[in-house]
Amino acid sequence: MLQPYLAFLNRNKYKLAIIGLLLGASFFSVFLVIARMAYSDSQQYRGLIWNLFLAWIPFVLAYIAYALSWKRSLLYVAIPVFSLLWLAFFPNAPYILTDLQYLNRAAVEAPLWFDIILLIWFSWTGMLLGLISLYLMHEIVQRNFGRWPGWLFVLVVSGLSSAGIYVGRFLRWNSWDILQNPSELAMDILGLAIDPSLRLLAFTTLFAVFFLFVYLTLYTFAHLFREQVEQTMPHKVVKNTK
Amino acid sequence: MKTMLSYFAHNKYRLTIFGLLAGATIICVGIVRLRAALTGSTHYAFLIWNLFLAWIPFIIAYFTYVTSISRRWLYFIVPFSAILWMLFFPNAPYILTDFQHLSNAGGDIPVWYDVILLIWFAFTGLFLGMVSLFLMQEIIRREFGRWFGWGFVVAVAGLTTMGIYMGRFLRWNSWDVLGNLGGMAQFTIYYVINPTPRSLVFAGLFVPFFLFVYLLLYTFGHLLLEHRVEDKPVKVST
Repeated sequence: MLQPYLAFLNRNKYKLAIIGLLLGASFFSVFLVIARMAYSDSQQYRGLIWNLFLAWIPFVLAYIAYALSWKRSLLYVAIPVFSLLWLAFFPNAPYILTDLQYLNRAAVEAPLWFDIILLIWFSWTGMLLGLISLYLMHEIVQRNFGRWPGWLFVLVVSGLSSAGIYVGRFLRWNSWDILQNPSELAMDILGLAIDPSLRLLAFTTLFAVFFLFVYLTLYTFAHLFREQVEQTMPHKVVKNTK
Repeated sequence: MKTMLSYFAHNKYRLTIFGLLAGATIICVGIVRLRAALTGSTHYAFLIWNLFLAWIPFIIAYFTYVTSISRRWLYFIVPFSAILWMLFFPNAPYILTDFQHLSNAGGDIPVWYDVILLIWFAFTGLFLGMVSLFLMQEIIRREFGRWFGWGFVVAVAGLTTMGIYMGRFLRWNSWDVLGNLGGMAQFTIYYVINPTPRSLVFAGLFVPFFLFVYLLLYTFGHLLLEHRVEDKPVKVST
């Protein structure tokens, strides 16, 4: 009776392990904030829990899109909708990195090193959630349109999400303003596009390049790993019988 | 020429990762230089030194990995370089603690610039560490088996956290082992016997973080393998 479930678990071992790791890290992060609140009676950093929740949205969307993308019939209907929704929420994942700026207000209620570890936990969990969801979307694009459109997609997303982080951090817009306040948001973005500030250009460039570096390193590291397995443990690789 | 090309093809990903980390290091240095040019202050120049230190375990691991392929050298060089590697390894994740300098940022340049600067350095350092740890784990796994490999990773996570703590709070350096071994050993033993709440909490928060990031990178590598097996079987020439 359990057989099909066990087979499913075994087939998706690593996918489930990644979800488990990210869930574990999220719980740990939330626990750190709760411990801080209990210790210091201050509500500082409570907002990070909300930000981390927002970082999960693109991950879940990418996961659903990835699962649906195997069905050709759904591909051209569901995927574009999911992709747009995904893109709207995606910047929330790397956004948490900018929350490191709160270290600037030296808090007195908890030691600085504790706040650093707390922010590192949140920002890395958010960033890794983002990177893996980008990888899933990258896979969908690559499978259907080829290798170069796949990398172009990654490049465009890096640029757009950096701009998105800027719009969120400095102009204080949220993902859902696309639906709630589309005209005002559009005017603001249009204004930025026509007359970009030095801050916008510097921030977006530094961040987009950073994001690309991290994604490429993660991607290459994973391939390095695969290369290793193929070279040293060939029994783990399915042989091509054709 | 042909052997060189096949060498490149064979080590494509290893060389790419080397190139990426070298590129990121150059960008990091550029960001500090730009900061110095804009503000006239040499603040954060020490990060370049810290990043240089983070490269040392990476190079040692790379070197060890290459020499460990030939059995002859294994038992002479590997133990020696593994100890040297462990001494310098904490310098790679150590850069994460440099975020503390944000607490008095904002004087001469906007805070967001320093945030990005520190993110660049911290991620580059931690990636240098993670890749070098993977290379060392591979050597252990090949020689002693899978469980020893994972035991090694857990031990390294613990020792590294201790090393970061000693560097950040007690201000010891990797090379004090050579210059002041007695003093350092005494201090370490004292701290292991009499842990402070600070050292316990620091270790309790940092060890799981380190393991989480490493495990995630590791699992992500496996995920790719899973996909490959699902999509199209890999060709193996026998």
